[in-house]
Amino acid sequence: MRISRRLGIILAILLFVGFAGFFDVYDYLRFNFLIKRMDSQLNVLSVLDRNVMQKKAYINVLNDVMQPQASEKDLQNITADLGLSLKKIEGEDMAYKVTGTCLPSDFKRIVAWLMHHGNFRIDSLSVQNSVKTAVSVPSMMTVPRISIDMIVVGVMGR
Amino acid sequence: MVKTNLYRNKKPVLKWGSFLVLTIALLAPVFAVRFTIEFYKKSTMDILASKYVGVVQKYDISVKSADLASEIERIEGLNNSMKTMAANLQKQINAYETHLKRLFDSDSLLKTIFSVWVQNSENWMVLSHLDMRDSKVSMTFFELYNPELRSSGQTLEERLTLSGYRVQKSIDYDVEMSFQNKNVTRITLEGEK
Repeated sequence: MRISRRLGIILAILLFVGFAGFFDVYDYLRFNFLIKRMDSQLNVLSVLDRNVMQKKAYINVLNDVMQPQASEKDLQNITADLGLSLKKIEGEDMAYKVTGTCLPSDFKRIVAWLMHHGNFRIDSLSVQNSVKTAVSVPSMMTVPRISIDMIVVGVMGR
Repeated sequence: MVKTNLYRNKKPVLKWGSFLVLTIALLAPVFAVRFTIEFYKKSTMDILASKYVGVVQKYDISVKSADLASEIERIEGLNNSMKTMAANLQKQINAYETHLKRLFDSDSLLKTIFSVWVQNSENWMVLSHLDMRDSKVSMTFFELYNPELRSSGQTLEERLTLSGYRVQKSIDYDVEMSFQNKNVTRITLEGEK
């Protein structure tokens, strides 16, 4: 029995395509495509995951260096306590302008407080003492006053 | 003699046997896939799950053929959020590092000044003016000191030089106060890193 060659080839290919469809061979191709994509996405995820973990660990280390920390409220309290004015600088994150006059001991206190707390730093400082001599004659002297103009910058920790 | 081509007018035909061989050759891989696909899928996914065992467990990713497509979408969403998170953390790290660097600079300067500052019967220092900005520092102070000992102003100048400042010192006056056996002086120091 003989059939036309063209017809035979077309018939064989049709059978191939038909069987392939019937047995879900296309699913195999689709699966391969998906599994490749999943592999690359999981790879990206594991890299990012490691990156984020390392960064978090590093931030913890930096946070530990900055201990002890104080909050914005604490800064407000101490400046109010010493009679200094505290103004937040607009457009900057946690930057404050501290101005006013106070006693030398109070000046020491706020500077020591700022140096003690790791998350605040004195960005710029300008102080002027009201005394004009080193020799103090108690009856003549007015109480020395220090006028402060400083910029305090902080970062928010944990 | 004319050479005749016997095949010239022959119709191209396929023998039944040849047709069968052709069909079987084409269908063989189809059947091969048909009977191995389940095993193939399972082993591929097992390999994938074991390769990324850490993240798969951490983010509760199910590696199953049924919900592969939706799971990929979830991972993509996860990746995007992780990217923004990593960028935010980097920002925070940068802020912390700049802060710590500047904190160290300003703290060490103040510590230097405080460590030298004395107020006792031999030596008495009074700060008149202090200006500290970026990497510049300028200060004026009065000092009452015993001329036989060295003045703290000089010590301070040396300490600042040691911590990397180029210091300019100017003595506004240095007067002997004979009734106290002391000198009184006013010194201005200007330093720049």
